[in-house]
Amino acid sequence: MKMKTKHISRRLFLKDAALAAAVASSVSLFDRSAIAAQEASAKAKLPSFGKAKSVIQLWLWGGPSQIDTFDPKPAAGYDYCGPYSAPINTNVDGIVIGQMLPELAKCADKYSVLRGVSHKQNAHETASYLTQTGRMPGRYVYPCAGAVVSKFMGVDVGYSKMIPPYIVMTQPQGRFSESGFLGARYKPFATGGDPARIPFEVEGIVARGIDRDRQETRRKILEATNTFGAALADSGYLKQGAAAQEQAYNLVLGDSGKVFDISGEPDEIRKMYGRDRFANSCLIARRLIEYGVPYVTVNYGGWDTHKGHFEAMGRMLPPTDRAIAALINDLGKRGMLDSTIVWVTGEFGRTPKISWEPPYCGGRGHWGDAFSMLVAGGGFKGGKVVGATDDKAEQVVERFISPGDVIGSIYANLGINPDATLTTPQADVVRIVPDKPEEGIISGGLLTEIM
Amino acid sequence: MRIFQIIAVAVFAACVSKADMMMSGGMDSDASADDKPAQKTPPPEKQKKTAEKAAQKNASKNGAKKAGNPEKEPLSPYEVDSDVFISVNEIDESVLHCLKILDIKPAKLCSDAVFARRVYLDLTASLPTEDEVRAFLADKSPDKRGKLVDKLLASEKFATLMTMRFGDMLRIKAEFPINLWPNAAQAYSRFIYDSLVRNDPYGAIVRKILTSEGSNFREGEVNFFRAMQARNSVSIASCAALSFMGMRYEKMPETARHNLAAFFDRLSYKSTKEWKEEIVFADPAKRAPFSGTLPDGSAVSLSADADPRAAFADWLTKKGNPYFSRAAANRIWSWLFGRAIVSPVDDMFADNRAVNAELLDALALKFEAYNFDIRKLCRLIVMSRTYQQSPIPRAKPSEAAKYFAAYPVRQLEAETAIDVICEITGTGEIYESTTPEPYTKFPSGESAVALPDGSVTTSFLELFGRPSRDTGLDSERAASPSASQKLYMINSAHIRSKIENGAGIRPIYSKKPDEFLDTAYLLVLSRFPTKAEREAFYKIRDSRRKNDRGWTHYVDTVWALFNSEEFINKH
Repeated sequence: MKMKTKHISRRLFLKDAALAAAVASSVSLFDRSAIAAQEASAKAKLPSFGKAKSVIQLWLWGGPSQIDTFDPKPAAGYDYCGPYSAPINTNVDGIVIGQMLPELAKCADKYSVLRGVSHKQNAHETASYLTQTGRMPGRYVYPCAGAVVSKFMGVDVGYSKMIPPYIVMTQPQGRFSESGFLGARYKPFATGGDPARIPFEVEGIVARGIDRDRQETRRKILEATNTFGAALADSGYLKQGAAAQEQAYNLVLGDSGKVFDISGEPDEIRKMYGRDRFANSCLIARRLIEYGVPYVTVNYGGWDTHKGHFEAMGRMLPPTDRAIAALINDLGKRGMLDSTIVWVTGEFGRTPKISWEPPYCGGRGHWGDAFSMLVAGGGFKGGKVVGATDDKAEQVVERFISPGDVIGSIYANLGINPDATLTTPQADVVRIVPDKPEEGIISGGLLTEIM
Repeated sequence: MRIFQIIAVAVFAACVSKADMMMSGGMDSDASADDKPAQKTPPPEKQKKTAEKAAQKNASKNGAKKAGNPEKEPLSPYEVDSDVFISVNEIDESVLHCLKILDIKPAKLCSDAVFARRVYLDLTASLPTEDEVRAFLADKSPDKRGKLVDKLLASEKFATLMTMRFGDMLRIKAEFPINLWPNAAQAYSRFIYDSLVRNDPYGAIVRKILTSEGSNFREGEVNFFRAMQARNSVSIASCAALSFMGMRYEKMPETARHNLAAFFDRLSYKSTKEWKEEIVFADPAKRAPFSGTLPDGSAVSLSADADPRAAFADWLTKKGNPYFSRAAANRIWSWLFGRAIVSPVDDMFADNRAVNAELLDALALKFEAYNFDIRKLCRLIVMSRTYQQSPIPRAKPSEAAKYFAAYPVRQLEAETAIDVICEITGTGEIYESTTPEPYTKFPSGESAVALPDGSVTTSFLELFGRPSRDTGLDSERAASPSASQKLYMINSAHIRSKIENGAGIRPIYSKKPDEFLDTAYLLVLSRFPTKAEREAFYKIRDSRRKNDRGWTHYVDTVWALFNSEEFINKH
């Protein structure tokens, strides 16, 4: 009896396994040709397909207010706008942005404002994940855009530069693991250190006070006392470690680390960006892109302004405005804007109606129903507005944009087919961006109007 | 099945047992209730005396050789120069049996210094102090290895390390995608830690988890039912199978999946007036007579008053259930030995076979005989001659590693690495999370191994492969070397300032060269320097600029020790 049931079970299992294998192989075959076909069609449809080589993601975590920045509604009155009642015209007819962004107002022809973004999530963690992966929480933890780009344009395609292909200044997310199910190989390299200080000490890459001579002596000691390595030489166990160390020394003793050193930048450039932490991060990001890094994230917190919102905006918006405008203009002047996508976003917006009551006393809460992003360069047109909200910036009334729409468009501009797939540790094949809207989220499709 | 078995036996020689075959067929949903998986009867308990004697014999060979006398240098600092392999317990018998059939030579016995370092790392994720190493090396008693193991098993650090291991498996994390919330993650961790400090049997701990009800802040164990993305019976069943049965839910036949999930159908969640508090409870509204089928195919009928979860938990944690004892034995073995018997530990079925099924049988049976006492199982493993092998293989390295014919060299876990760097240098790290509120801050000096919440992290921990605790899969922990890690050790201000300024290490920079060398090696590598290493120290010193021959040369020597493969790897 036992053998019999097992016999059946094994046979069924084998049958299932064979079937699964057949399905898997046909799927992958189908997928490959389908991808090729879709890639061709994506190329045909999108003139900007593959124009970009790299991305600078300015991640304003905490969630910046849309009504105070890129989606002003002066007619909504004091309870919505507070002191910011006089938005300003930009250098593009018809585009008006917040009064605290005068520098960005001068270069609106170089970027587009996405006002129709909506995901309806008001929790930091879900919204952070969703905004950077295009996915609602579910069965898997998907990789964020940076990890996908570092896979498709870095790690997996022979990227051989000394500086890793995905850099985060200065700390990792914390909210979720950036590389998701792709694992450690695709994690960003977090620089650590403080970009406001010069020299910027990037953990491991730039060290003060250890000159080349001493580095070499240290290495000599290490090699002369490598008793363990010698004992295990035949085992091959330490091969990977030795190779990694060799690679590390190429960076330590080479001059790639200079990419982080902005002390040689001309004074007018430093002045244009500003000299604060965010400004220096933006300038270093530009240098990293010049060097050939495909994805750089600047993690810039402080936007979760439940209380003291306007004080914080008064403090934070001017340097933010200056640095982003400087970055876009600088990239433009160097002819790098065509190949570099600048993506500015937080995980959500903030409640347009101000909470005047205690304990907030002039604060704004989380708002995922409608918020704004900025995209520039790398195949995205400038001088456009995509989507619109109601008269209080509370709801999207025209052209919904889901996070997946934005990420898919970024991929397309990078020449990564939005239909491309990844394999999970459970051996499931999944798309890099969803092909249908995630539950509860409205998608308006790729941003074809600006591509 | 028959044919398959014959092929398997041919391929794996006698290493594959019947019980292993049974594992792959054990999910039959139509098996009758009395069709219980057959268990090998436990071999008669070995006379404890014999085992201890053998252990002493192994150890004394070594003890006599070096015993605190660095002048009389052994051939190798890592192993005892002898071919003797005396079986200490059933682990050794199964491993030797397998090695004999495959004609693989086991490694020599590891040296005392290597053993001390190894058990400290494997049982407590810490290193012995300089005095502890000196005392252990000087100790002439033949049972000193056993005594050290007992001391470490009784320490709080053992419970802390095991809490981290279980925390990885159970996905204990405040933030995305698990979203337990800080207080709940801490309560859950605390539950595990307290259970381990009390040395509760593993079966009892799991039973308590699986039948728990109450507040996520107050009854830590209920968070098992919350530590998953989707809170439904399918998700719970999938986590239970993964964590406690080493089984992938998605690979089970559909009926079996459905049957397993049914045991958790009555569970509900409700919030309270306390922010983010949640009550997990068996919903009275869903009370009804229950009839279901357990994973081994046996039927269960319960009155409306009974909680089906209890029936599942009873079945799961009962002795003789191979899903449970083997899954746990395999995991605990892999935690200590760094390599599983069936790999991966959370996918033991389907096509994954044991490299040595006899060994897995022996461990599982012993674990049951010990009443699921985790410490006793750990003791059995680390006291085996197999575990006490040198890291230097004497056979083809890939085969030696696969069949446990050497202790596998592998990188320290991220948490252990930073903890021991802090211990040696007398420095602390700041662990805190300002996302989400309420902020979590730990006092300086908190160890990374002790962090109760996988969301609290640092660049170092991320860089060195700490698992994200997103899925609970064993593969999340990535402990392979990378150029970025090497850069960090070679060149970061973080590590550098610890080496130069750490209160624990600074005093040694004013010692005389020979004393400095002894202490530095004992602190960082848990052994005395060899003659060749001493000579290299002086030779390089004398070739340096005069200004660099003092403090600078000391610091650079310690730097080199921290950057050695011997330091960053378990061996």
